[in-house]
Amino acid sequence: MISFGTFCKRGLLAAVIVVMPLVSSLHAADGDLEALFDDEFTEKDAIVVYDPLEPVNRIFFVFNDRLYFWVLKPVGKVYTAVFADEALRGCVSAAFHNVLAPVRVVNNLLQGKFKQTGTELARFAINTVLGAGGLGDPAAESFGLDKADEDLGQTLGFYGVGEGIYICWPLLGPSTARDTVGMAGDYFLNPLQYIFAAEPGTNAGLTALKIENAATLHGKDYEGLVADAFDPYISLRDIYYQHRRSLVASAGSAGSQDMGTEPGSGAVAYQEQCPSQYSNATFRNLAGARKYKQCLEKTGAQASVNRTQKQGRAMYLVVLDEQSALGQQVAMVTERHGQK
Amino acid sequence: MDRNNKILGLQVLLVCACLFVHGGLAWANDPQSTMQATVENVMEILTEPALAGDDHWQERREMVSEEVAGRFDFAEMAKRALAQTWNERSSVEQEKFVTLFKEILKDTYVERLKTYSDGSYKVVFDKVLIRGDKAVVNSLVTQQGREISAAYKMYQKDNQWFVYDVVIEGVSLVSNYRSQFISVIQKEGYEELVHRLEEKIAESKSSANASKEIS
Repeated sequence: MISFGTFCKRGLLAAVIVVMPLVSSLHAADGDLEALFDDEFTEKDAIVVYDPLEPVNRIFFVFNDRLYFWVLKPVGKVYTAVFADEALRGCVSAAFHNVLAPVRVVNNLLQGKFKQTGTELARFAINTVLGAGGLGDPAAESFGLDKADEDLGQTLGFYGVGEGIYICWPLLGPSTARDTVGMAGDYFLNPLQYIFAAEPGTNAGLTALKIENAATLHGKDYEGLVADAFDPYISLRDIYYQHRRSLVASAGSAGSQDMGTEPGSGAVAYQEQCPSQYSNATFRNLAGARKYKQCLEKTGAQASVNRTQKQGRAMYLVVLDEQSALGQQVAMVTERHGQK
Repeated sequence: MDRNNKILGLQVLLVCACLFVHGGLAWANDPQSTMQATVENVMEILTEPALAGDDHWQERREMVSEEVAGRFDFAEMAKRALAQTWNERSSVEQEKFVTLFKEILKDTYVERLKTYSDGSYKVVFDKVLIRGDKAVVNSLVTQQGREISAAYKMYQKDNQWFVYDVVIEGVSLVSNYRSQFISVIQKEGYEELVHRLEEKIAESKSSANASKEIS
């Protein structure tokens, strides 16, 4: 039985891993343009999200929103007054990023990205020594070693684990069933909890500092989001899904660089959104292939998923049944495009 | 003083216009150069010392709006944001929706750009992917060590490239609006959506006026 204090501490720590990358959108996914390319110029549906807990989630969303506007923001005013220099607060953020290197190293390793694993190890060494414990980023500035951000949620997604239901945790913010499992796993890779194992107070204080620091740096983003939204809950949920999916998709494509690009690997990008492309496609993970199949079937086509091997790695091939009711559909779509 | 500023403003406008026309002519078929020219023009307006400060925000805002409107196809964005429900609307409703959505996008997008005025932002266009009449142009925005990727989805019309979606850190602007619109329509109906759009526009108008009165 864990005490309430421990629970809160763990919760706050997990927030560091999950909420902050979202609110801050700190670390650019290598913008895989392939993933953004629309082969067809049609109007797509809203992204598919499974949110059976919406009524409860909305309550927690409001709780988090109040937490930001009533606690984090006012405290942030004092914090910003003390640490007036934004660059200084950037250093604090960089130091926290640096200390979480084990999370990224292990997850890069788990996804078979050996080059990126090496990069993260080198970054940790360089930034800790030359960047005074990670306060700066000389690894990127002088050595051209860019961040390779990975967490367990992404690793699970990389291996085809579906997102499951959407969960908006109190304190922790937006997540999915998969990413919740991920952040629980990553928690054990956080060195801070071992370094300060005997001092729960220090640990919780550091976590609070990290959250507050991030809130002062990125609060404006959140406020802008709320101000612009017609339904902030839906907007944040959509942003969370889109952002996480793009990270997982770029994880797939980063892997493909190691393997050499083969035709059809671009299809990885389409795994999450229903492509209006009526053709066979290869996927790196089963969930993506299944989704694509479902999408095809929604339009009246028949398709099957076949498992294949490519360079020792499992690939999933979605094969279209030419005999199905597809003919009509294709004709209809082409007609609509012809009008454009 | 005021007159001087106006003259300066005019000069800036002229310079921008020249740049723009030049850019348009020289690289009419290149989406990356087109987008780069637009972004550079916008940044120039935003960081122009003669127009600095909140007093001139309205003026800058108008100039930026004009620049953005020339490159962004707001009507196409509106259509895509409504997705499959677009076809369920009458042509009158569609027209009205486009007008409202245009207004919203102009307000929110240009308002967000205000933070770029302090000149601490750097934009680099790093990648482009062109296939037929469509393209994705990627840029990296850096400010104090923070790097954000902003991609512009573009399409070609009459030998010119137009933006139909902006994707920031993997989050598409149009998709985000779409999720919200569909949710509002499903729960409360299309009329309510139109009502909320009008409310939002009125809100930003009144806050803009308020800031004018203060300054």
